[in-house]
Amino acid sequence: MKLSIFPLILLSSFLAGSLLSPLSGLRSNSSSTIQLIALSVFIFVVSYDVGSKMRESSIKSIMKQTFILVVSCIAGSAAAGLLFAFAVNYGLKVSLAIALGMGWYTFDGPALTSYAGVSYGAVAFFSNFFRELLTLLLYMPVSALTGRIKPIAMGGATTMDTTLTVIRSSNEPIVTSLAFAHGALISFFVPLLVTLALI
Amino acid sequence: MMIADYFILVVFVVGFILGLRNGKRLKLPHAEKLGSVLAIVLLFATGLSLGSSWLTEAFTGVLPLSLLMAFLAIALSLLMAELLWRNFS
Repeated sequence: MKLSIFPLILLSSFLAGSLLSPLSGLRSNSSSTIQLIALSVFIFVVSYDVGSKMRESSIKSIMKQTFILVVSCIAGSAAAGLLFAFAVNYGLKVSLAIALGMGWYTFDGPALTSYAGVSYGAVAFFSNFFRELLTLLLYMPVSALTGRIKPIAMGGATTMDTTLTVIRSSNEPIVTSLAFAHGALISFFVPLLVTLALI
Repeated sequence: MMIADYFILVVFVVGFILGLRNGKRLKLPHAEKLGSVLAIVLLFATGLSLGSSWLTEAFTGVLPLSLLMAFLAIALSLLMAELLWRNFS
């Protein structure tokens, strides 16, 4: 199985930032400003890229299957948020916002940190990071049991980039197109749903 | 905080519409690489902002909770896909 090392580079960057924080001498509002600027530029680049690729991909031909996968992913993640809130006695809004990050940890972690504080931000970051890693590890074995299309819903927003490497290496072009369209649509919905959950 | 949230939302929608309308003739140069570099910078800034206090919390609850949430989200998404696929595909 071909695994990308990019998630590990991201994790290292996050750890380096955390460890260097006490030495940096930055006040917390200065680092939050840097974080907001970086997040805004990142969001713009990603959304522009998603928009331009949505046009290229032939979404019409795979619309129904993509729709089923997107609904499954959103409904499953929301159900996970509800279950988590009751099981661990977390706030409902925060749990939903964490779950509805759907694998996009670079967005969900900072968003929850600014809204709810450090520990919620850390749970948001790690749960979405683990979702990506688990999808990378579990996609192949699960697809052997359930077929190749349905496990795409596990990956959430990551199926248009990181986990696409695993999905693409093992399947036909139609599955790759479905995974990309699914990831692009989920990436579109994540900022909307997380913001709605937190309002 | 809410203002920051809405700002990010607006940035996303504007970027998406611009990409949809102009993406074919005006591609962002090296968008994938740029996105990757920005993701690294963003996570470094997030780490700076969080500080090292989460490390002490990580072993008292954050990691097990995060794993639980990740497993729940993956399992329930797969279950929903199975149910919806059976009934609507």
